[in-house]
Amino acid sequence: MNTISFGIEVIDENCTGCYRCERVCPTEAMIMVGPKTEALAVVDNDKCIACMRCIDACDDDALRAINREEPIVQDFDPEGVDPEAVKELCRAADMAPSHLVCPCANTTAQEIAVTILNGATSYEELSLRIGVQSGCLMYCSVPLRRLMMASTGNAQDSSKVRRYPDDQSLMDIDPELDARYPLFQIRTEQEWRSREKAEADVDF
Amino acid sequence: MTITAATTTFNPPVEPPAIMPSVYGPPVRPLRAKDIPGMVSLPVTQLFPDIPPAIHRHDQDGASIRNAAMRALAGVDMTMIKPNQRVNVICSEHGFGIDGGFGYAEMLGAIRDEIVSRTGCQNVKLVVIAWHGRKEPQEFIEYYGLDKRYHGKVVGANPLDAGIEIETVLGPLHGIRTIYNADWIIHTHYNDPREVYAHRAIDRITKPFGMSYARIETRSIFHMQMGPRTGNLIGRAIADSDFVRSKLAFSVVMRTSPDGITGVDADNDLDAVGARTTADMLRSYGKMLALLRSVEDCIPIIDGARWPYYIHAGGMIFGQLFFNGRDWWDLDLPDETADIEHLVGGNVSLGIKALVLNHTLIGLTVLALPMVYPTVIADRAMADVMARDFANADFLEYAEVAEDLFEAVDMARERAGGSNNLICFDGSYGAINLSPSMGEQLLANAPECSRLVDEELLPKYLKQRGLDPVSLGVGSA
Repeated sequence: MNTISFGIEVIDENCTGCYRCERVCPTEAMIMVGPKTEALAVVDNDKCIACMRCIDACDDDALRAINREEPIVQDFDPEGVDPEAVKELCRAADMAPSHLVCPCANTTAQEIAVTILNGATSYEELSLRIGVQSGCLMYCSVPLRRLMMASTGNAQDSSKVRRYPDDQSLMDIDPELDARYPLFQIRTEQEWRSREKAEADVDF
Repeated sequence: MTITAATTTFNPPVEPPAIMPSVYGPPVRPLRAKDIPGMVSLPVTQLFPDIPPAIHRHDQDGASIRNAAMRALAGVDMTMIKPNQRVNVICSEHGFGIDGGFGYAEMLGAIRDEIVSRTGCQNVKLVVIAWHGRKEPQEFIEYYGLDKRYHGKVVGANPLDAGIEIETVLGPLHGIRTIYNADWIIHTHYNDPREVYAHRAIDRITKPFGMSYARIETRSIFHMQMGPRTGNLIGRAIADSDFVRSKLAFSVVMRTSPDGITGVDADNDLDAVGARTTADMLRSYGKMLALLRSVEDCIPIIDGARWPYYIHAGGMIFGQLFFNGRDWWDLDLPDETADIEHLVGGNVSLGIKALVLNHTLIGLTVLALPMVYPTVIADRAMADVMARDFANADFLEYAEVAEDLFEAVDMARERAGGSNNLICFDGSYGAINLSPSMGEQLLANAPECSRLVDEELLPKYLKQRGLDPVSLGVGSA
């Protein structure tokens, strides 16, 4: 569950049209409107998850956080979702259902899987439904990609956030590398991961 | 407010390093933790006399650091660097969290000056990497005078910047392009063990290649998709890549102990300096880590210029106390899980009874703190910053807010059943600012920790990492 207590306000007279805010917004809440050389930032607070990345990107004091009259509470909805399908999707992405995916929104793999099975097909939709990517933008990026890829073979991203396709996971490592890099105990950890995925169950 | 009288004589509190102002934190606090009435200090060498001594304190000029850097660099080959080439000296933000950060800045400046002096190459640029915010590198550059030290050739970078593909044994991974856009790179690091619960002292020297120098996707793999030991393979795989090996001229490590900065090491051979760094780290920090594991009752006060887990008390970061549920360096202990977050999160301290936040940066998830311990924020200014912390959106749902630091300490003591055991994580090296009863607890536990590490743990730690205790003069093994 994630609570969004803030939105963003644009101070038009300070905006210089640099486009930086648009490029860091994970939900396309922040867009530039107008001819390219004269565009100014415009925010759609219905799509803002209060990650504050736009404020961080702004050098012109053109954005500020504002309190929402009513906080938005984001949560996943397991109603009608087959637990076996959730389990299989997590396994395919090399995670147990309880695997923590987004520490900032305190979201696990099973919650992401449920949301994907409920129709979310992109990073933006996942953010808007359950608040992932609302914090550090670091931890959750690869698990989100793996879960989407395992579901549809595609990890859609319509935002202008820069992404790269790295998505390796423990079970992808060639176990023969154990001989070259014994300190890392590749085979041992792969056995643990296999066991955990086999034994783990969903817990809504 | 009163603090229980001590039966042991202690020194007055030491002055912690100043807090660098930051847009990612509250206004610099009117009161520091050491200002709490009754606080004293305990030198780390009083706990363990064999901790390597510091050559520099945060309030001294950098001459000792510069001299140590020059001595270390004297043994490094720089002939591969030609006058018309580009060199990137790459550094990581946590170096600036070590005893105030000016020692690290001095080392970085000395590296630049020595390269210019010996090679004639003037195009030596410093790349300052900070993971959290876009404005963070510039804060370091201004506060530590890095533009002056590098004659204007300094640039910031963070993991959201443009990436560059690096082919590795694990497949393609991505570094930050700004770091690698030179003919040569200089890897500058430090042996502060920091998050022992993540790296386990497994190949510590290569960790920045998979974290600080990497794009967010690569960092995400380290944190979320690998196991507690295999995660460290990310950095090693990148460091071993043909791409990095073709650019890495040499590496420089700032040596530290809980007493402070102890020297500088440097080598063209990454693995050679890595082995020395690991041995040095295990020897310098093992006893203090054992001591933190022995703490049975305390109230930490977070009061520094970094995120809570990364603020030092006597050279030990708070994360080492918080995640003290097991010995992370003993690789014989089975992990029984390949889920690093699960493993780390399941080993939080049972000795922390309450917590006070006086000054910290935002942006790193620390919601576990108020969910696990009674947590009091020292005043409204700090609370207002926490309220807008996108990485801890629900923090104030669990934490209380006091009128000021002194009231916060009183509230924390009450929530902790009256404990008087205050310990300040205020950035200090060399000594811990604490309450007398906390000092007595540490002094009582230290002898057994010392014996345990000398006789059992340190020889084992070294052997587990392929290092020979006998040749290092450790234990009786």
